[in-house]
Amino acid sequence: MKKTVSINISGIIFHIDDDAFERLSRYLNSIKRHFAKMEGKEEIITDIESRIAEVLQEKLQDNKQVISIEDIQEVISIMGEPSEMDEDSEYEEPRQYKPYTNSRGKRLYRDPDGRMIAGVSSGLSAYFNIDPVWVRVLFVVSLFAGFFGLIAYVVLWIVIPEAITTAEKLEMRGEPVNISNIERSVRDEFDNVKGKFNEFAGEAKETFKKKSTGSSRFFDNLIDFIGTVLRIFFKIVAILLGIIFILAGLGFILTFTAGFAGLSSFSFFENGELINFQLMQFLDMIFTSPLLSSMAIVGAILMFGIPLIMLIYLGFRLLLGSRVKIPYFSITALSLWLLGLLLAMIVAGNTGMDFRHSARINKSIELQIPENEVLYFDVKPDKRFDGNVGKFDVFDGEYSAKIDEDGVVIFEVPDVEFHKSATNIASVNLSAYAKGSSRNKAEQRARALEYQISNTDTSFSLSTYYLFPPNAVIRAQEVQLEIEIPEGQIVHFNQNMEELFNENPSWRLRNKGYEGNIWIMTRNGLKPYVEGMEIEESEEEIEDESSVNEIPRYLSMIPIPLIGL
Amino acid sequence: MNTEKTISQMRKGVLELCILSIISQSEDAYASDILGKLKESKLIVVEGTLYPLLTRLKNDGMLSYRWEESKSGPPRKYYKITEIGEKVLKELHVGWDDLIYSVNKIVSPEIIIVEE
Repeated sequence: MKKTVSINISGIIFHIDDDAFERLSRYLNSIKRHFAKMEGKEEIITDIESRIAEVLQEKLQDNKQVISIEDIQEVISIMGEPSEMDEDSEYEEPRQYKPYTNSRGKRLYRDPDGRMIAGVSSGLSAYFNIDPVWVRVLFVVSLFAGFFGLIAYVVLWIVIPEAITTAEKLEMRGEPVNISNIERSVRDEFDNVKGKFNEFAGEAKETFKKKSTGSSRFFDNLIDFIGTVLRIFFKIVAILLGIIFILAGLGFILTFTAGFAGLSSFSFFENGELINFQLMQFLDMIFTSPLLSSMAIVGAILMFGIPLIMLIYLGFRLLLGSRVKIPYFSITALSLWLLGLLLAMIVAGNTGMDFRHSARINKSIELQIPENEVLYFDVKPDKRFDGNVGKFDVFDGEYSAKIDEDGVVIFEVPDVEFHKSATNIASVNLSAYAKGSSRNKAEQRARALEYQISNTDTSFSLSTYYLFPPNAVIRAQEVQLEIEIPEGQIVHFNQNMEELFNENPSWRLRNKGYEGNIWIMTRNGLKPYVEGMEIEESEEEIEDESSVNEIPRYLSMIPIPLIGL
Repeated sequence: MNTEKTISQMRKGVLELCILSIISQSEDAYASDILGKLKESKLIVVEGTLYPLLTRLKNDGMLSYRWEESKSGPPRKYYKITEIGEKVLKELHVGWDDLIYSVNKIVSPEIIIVEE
């Protein structure tokens, strides 16, 4: 069983098989297109249609009422292909006309005959019609500007097929795909539309004249016309998108490779000073093993690089059509990207595990201050932290770092809080904190932090920074100091600490006009001490209570002056 | 050398002369008749070639046509040669005779062409 349709050719009704109808309308459309620019084309086409009707009618007999595709094929061979119908093209091989009507461009191949390495350069130069030397110079120059050229070369090597057969080699040197050719193909399409439009306008006029008969053709042409307009529109959009995709992809790749070039400087500016971490140095602070670092790098390259390469590939597809289809490209790209994702997940999971347990190490130094003695605090200057210091953020924590001959030194100021002691013993309580994959690991890390406190009978000497051990991994390490002072104890902060206070604009007591560095611990916390002052609760103080209570917090912000280092 | 192509080009040159002659000789001719004769003498291979030619000759004023209903098919276009057509035909005919004469004189001198 076969579906048939009824058609009307030159006023004669035919029943015709569906496939035969398809073939016939394709044939008639190709004739219309062929004669589109010729004078009197409507007449030529009508004559041809009428002859086709005649020939078809001869084929029909009583026992054969339906036109089959074989009949149509025979008709076409009698009438000839459109290219054979020109007065001056008969007997000439249709192929010679092909490039004109059917703008088949050239293909990008690797050139095995002119190769230095894989023939990428000479293939490209054949494609763009330039001297291969320039392409090679470009590749070599880009090698110095990072890995871009190398990556591009390898990608092209994989992506571009080698021209093996003579046909492929000819195709390789065929019509250059350049702006003027793209323009030409667009203009051809445009002429086509113009022709269609005129045809369409003519049809419209006719239809209005004799209302019913032409209406089906009229709508055919209308649809045809709209189709062509849409085709042009999409072609232009595709070309623009293609160019944008390629440029964007290349731009991002260039940026990333520039980032990796020299493996690479993670730069931290601090007061105009620049610290350069090597990429591996930086990764060593984050990942516990070089294997994880490498996996992180490969994972990142795959996860970011593959989409960019896909973008460029898509751009070329849009620009040059399906000719640049590379077999298994998408599936390969997807698999590589998934591999990258897998690596990233392994790295992230592994690193996440290292945050599961935490540990805190406490250390306490206590001083029994003799009656009427002053408790002294000072900060030991540490030459190790002079010079270029940068700050960086890792895992929500901010750390300072400098690079010396042994590598990266990580350090940070501790949190400091002042409290009233419940006893008459002054103490500095240090607590070091860290995380790890197990309690043990976390404790090891906490213990490895270095912070020095020394004391005499009546003084504490603190350090400005706590220090990470060499080659440390950053796992939320933190050092806190809780300084407890008995009530009524007079405290003297050494000038070097005072300087730190001075740098702290939010230390509000400073703003009240107190210039001294002698303080006293009251029931409500530290207060400025004036010789002979009465240590007692006075009503007016209550108003200040909030700010008084905040003193410890402000003191704990001593770190802030570090910005000025 | 592509003799096929050269021969086809020779034929092409005389195609207009032949079409005009066929139409002029018959009272009025319709495409199928013309095609029959042309194909018989292998002057054309595919029928599609004829239509652009007929249209051009008609547009140049050498042919006119009338429609005639057909009992068995689509209405037929019967072509008739115009006065201009006859004049052109005469010129072409003379040109053709001259050509045969001079070409033969060169190509096959042993054949003596008897002039009427």
